[in-house]
Amino acid sequence: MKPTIACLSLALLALSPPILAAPPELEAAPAASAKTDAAFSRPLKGEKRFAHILNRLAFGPRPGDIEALRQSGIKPWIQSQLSPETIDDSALETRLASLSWLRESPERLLLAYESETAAFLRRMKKAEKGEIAAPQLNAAQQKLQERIEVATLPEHASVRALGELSVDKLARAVESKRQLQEVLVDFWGNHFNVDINKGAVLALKIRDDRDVIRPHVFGSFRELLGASAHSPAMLVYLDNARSTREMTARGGQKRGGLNENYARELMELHTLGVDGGYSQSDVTEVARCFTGWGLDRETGTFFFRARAHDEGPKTVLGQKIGLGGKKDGEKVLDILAASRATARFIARKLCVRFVADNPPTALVERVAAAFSRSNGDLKTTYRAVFEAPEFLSEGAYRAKIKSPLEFTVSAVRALGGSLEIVQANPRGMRLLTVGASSLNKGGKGNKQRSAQRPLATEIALMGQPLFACQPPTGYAENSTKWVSSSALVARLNFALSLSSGRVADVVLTRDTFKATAIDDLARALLNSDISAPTRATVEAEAQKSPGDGARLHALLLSSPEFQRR
Amino acid sequence: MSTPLSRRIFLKSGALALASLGFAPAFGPRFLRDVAFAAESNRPSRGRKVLICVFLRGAVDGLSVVVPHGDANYYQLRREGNGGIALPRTGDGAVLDLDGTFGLHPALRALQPMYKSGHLAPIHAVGSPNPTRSHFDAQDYMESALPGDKSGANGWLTRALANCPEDVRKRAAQIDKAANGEKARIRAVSMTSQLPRSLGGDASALAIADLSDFGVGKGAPPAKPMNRRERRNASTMRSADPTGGFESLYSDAVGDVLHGTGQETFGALKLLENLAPNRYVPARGAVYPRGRLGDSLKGIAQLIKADVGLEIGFAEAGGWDTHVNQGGSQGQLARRLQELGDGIGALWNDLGDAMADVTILTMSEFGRTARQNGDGGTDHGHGTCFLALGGGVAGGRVLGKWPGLAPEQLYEGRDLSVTTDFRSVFGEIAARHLGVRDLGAVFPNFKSDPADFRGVMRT
Repeated sequence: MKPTIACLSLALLALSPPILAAPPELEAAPAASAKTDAAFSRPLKGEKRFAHILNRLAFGPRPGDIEALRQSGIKPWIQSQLSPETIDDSALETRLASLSWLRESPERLLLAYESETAAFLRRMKKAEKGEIAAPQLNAAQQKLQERIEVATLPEHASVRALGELSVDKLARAVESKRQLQEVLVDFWGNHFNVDINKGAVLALKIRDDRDVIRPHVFGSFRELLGASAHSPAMLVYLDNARSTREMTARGGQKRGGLNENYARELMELHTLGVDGGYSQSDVTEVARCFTGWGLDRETGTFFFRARAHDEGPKTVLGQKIGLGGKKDGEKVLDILAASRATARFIARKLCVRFVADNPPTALVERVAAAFSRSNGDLKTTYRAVFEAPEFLSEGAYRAKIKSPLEFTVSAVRALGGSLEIVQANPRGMRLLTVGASSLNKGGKGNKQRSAQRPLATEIALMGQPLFACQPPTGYAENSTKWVSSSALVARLNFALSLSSGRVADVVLTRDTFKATAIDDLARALLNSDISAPTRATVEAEAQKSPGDGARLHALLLSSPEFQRR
Repeated sequence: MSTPLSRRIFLKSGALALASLGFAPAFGPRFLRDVAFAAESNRPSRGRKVLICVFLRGAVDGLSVVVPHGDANYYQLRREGNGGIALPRTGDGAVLDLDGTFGLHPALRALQPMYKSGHLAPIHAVGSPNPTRSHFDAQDYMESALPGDKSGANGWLTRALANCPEDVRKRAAQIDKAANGEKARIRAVSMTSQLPRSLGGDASALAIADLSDFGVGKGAPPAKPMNRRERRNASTMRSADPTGGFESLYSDAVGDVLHGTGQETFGALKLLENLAPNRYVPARGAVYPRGRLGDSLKGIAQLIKADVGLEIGFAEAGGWDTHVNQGGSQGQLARRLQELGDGIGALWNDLGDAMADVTILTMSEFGRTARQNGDGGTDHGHGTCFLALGGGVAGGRVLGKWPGLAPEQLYEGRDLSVTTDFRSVFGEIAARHLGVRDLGAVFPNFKSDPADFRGVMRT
């Protein structure tokens, strides 16, 4: 193991905050699943390959998927997934067309957010002071108020809009035929994480998903990085919209100033990795290069404020930067995207997502080389992962534990379910974003708990609320992080709810409740590869309560095997 | 008044009355321990010590937690009033003075009585010898207590638990056997949905995000309308078995992380079967703040009272990364501090006499810049402030060596310097509270010399 790679791999381990995975010694215990490098050189054979590919490049198999993959052959199937435009997904697109907020202009989305914030502030003031005098609005507030009145937005519009994005994401994960695209949108959306609980990100995330992540996942890394750097959601989330050179106001006081937040995370999390060889001075210099990158609060789009830009000379990673204006930031992105450290960092993260929590060093090196050689062409990089023997190896098979998103969506897919495309209920959306804690407040909480919850809320309760990861790391790719008592209990309960038709927006066919022969069930849910204890448990249960098909399904979905992918 | 029972009733109602007047925290455990609650029946720990760690993720601004209002440089670095983040010495929103030099943030007023009664010790200018300003690295280093080491070793609390003296452990186990039959113990619990790094490597540590959700098939929602055949076939999913019949799925003796967690989980489900968290009523009228931190602290209190063998409770709170509009006596940071102070205050009240055996320690990965930035916030810094509270804490004074805030005293010209290695605070609590003898095993590569201890715990 070369030292640099060792450092990088550890850097990634350190990236799974706020809480880390169970440490390696747990995984390294003499266990059936302990994957040594030797296991990565034993090719996966037979049926297992099909389930494996569908568990990695898709959110698990739906009924009939394994057969279809066998028919088409592995290589052509991967090839078509890498070119999603060749796959007809029109049936789903038609269903999703009713989610009209996803096509709204950034201007209206942002206005919806501003209008609700203004209304909220008015309510707060009223609560504090008893009643409000005629509100003292300054000129800008006055103008905003007028725009809000003209726009005639429905109530809770921005929360509704976000609810639509969540329905859209889950429906695509469950039903889209372009599965790899959805897996990659999830991966890169998580890599360039923004948290909807931070100010206007709530409204801006929608365009971030549509315009920043989605169109670029099969393009070049530099373009994706550039799109993210220009993304209003990111500019707000990591505070760059507020970072300016030090300026002097009319009165002579200083105003504005540098904010290092984006500069640091850009290098630590988006490109070089924490051990990628940058210093505190590089952080400050990069922040200076990005001064002035912000958004137009009226249109909700990117806007470069030349007046706020620091035009002084700068040095980043030993390179002088003096093009001036917006080009300073672009130059930084060029340098970072072309860095060898970035190639390794991205390569390793992809290998951790698609191969194993501790991928073989040689594989990471090869993928990094493919990234560098192709100037960060993502399709070339993905191919280097998917065509690697380590990817289709015993070492990779069931080596990853599913995240809550992967677990729940794969369970719905395994049962052949679909998602109801409904206008999101703003109340439900709020629950989704605040997570588990507020669900348990006295009598009200009990009522909510006994009500059926939508899929997005179930995922949030397992610790992975959609679009709402607070730290800029995004959710950990190291999958042992998702193993805990709390998580396990939540998964068992979800399996029970799902298989008895108790997840609010999941539609299952009636056949799901039928008692089926255990072998058929095992084939359908786990590709027949089930352990002795699982088989014994299901058989015992089948004898105890014959005809209780839902319970048998729940047991299989709760099995250790189904927690892995 | 002579029987223990009637005395307890009297004292309970007395404490309630005090609580309603807002006095209860002031009289706190010392009053309770010395006078009142000798007769309390649910004395929880039977001498077993409990450490509650509260991790403030995102780097709390230590200079706003315990404010150095007596250091003139403080008011040079931070502005007062509109857009400023300095806490004033006097007037509206003034600091709660502790010793003429330092003062508590006014939002922490729930903790002031503990300081006055000698049970709260702030430790200032504490931090890591490692210079990183990455949240994620710094949290990792603090939780492993191995600054700069990324070898992925287990957490410091895991090592502390493993190094409690044998005799203490055995005695505790005997008590447990007598009390709980053969039931398992829960030694460490984290009120989070994932196990924190601090407890990493301990297969027996539990992560329980929410006690009231911790059960299989509990409160299952009603099914969608079904026809008769479906109703006949659908399971009611209720079972007398607290593990819902799922236990045997994870019975295989496979030593991997999933099976290990499975077995611990089903053990805990049985142990906690009768806990009824939804019906929990905190003692002495304690009111936990709404939100995750309050829920976590309430859950820990409940587990301590349930006598499941708890030694480590872990809670966390986010939202401390105040780059923008940090606020002063009100605002963003004040709201987070209010939740923290009220949460600890409620726990204090709720546990009452049991606080004699409990130490609470707040921690955060680093501090923030001494100077406020252009956005009324602060950026990533270095030294910060921890708070230690409990019956055994030698409080009533601000501990640590104050490095000063003059330009030449600041770390790299911008941050509060670190004069106390966080490991010396952890080490002192591990040794003097949990009874760890071999500190070298808990803090490798660090000389844990009792002479360097800051005097957090009474000896």
